[in-house]
Amino acid sequence: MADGKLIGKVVLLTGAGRGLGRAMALALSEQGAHLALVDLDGEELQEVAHEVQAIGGGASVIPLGADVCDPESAATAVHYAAENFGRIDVVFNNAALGPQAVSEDPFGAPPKFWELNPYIFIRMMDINAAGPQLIAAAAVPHMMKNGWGRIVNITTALDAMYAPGMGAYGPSKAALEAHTAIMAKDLEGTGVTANVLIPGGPANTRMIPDATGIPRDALIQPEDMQAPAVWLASDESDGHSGKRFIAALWGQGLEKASAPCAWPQLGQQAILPGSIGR
Amino acid sequence: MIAGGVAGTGVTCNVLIPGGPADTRMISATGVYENRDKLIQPDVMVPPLLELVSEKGGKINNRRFRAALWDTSIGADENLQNCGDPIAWPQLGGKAIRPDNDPRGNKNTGNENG
Repeated sequence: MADGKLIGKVVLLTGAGRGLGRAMALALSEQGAHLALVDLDGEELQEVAHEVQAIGGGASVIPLGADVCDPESAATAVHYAAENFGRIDVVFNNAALGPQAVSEDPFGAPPKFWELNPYIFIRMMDINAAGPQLIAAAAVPHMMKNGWGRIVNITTALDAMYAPGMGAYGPSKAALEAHTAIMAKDLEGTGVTANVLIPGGPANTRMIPDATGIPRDALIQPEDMQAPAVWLASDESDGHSGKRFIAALWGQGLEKASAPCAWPQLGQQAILPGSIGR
Repeated sequence: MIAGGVAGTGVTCNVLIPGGPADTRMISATGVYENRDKLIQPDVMVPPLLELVSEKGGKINNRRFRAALWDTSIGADENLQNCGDPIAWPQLGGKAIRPDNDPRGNKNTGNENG
């Protein structure tokens, strides 16, 4: 640990109680990061906090029960993290409600959009698209103060954004992907970066129910997120902003595993009056 | 996704956008936008809209149309071709890496970079 890549870094990670969040928290802790772990589920959050304590020691982690899409709750979590550790360097916006919330078998028997529960649709948009904004907006002043920081947003593969059965999950992740590109532009010159990190396909979390029939070991494993998460939180990723990183391709090198965020290569910009440069 | 959902139902779902900043209250009249003539005018939406709600438009699904590109000096079919693209940019080819047993079928090797 003395030679960890994240010694002195304070990371706030949402959705830490299970799945990708838990795997990333453990890896970040192994590299010496101090962690503010956020989740709605208190019991699972406590368990992960204990696991992290076993790695990094008692003072290395605080669990924070919070709802990322409630403005006061999100701001309070960020406030406690900064008060406790004296700084915030990195945010992982990982908390999300997945396709399992709309159907037991979202891929084999995808529900039509008119069959979706309206409250689940709105809740999913709130958690997945608005939550990252609330957390990042509260945390980024702490980063800019130090001239260094990271915002890492977890989205999904492009075709998963519009695949049948993916409402509201797909649209919420499309919104976050676009928002990440905006964040990166807004942060230019501040030393703070904003990027997307995705597994690259369906991962072995509760988001893929057993009813899908996919063997658990055929899925992308949460541990695949660990190496890119550590890299993104470290000084090694300085200068990389407005990009999307694909964990499943991480072993093939940075070029293969990354692309510009939100697919600007389409080049289909708005038709603007001639005098306006954007 | 909505367009996929309604496929085969007799209902269609398409996107219609001005194509850039339009002369509406969304764009405040300051700076370069003080001259409202420079903005896309709301009435550009009308010709493609009429086409989409017509009987003939019933065959069109899952497309996005940019109204500002509509040229009233040429026919509707040509315009629908010129102004239209698939919704949500599937032409990028960005695909998830899926296991063989995924009910959605295809196993992709990961073409995330488009």
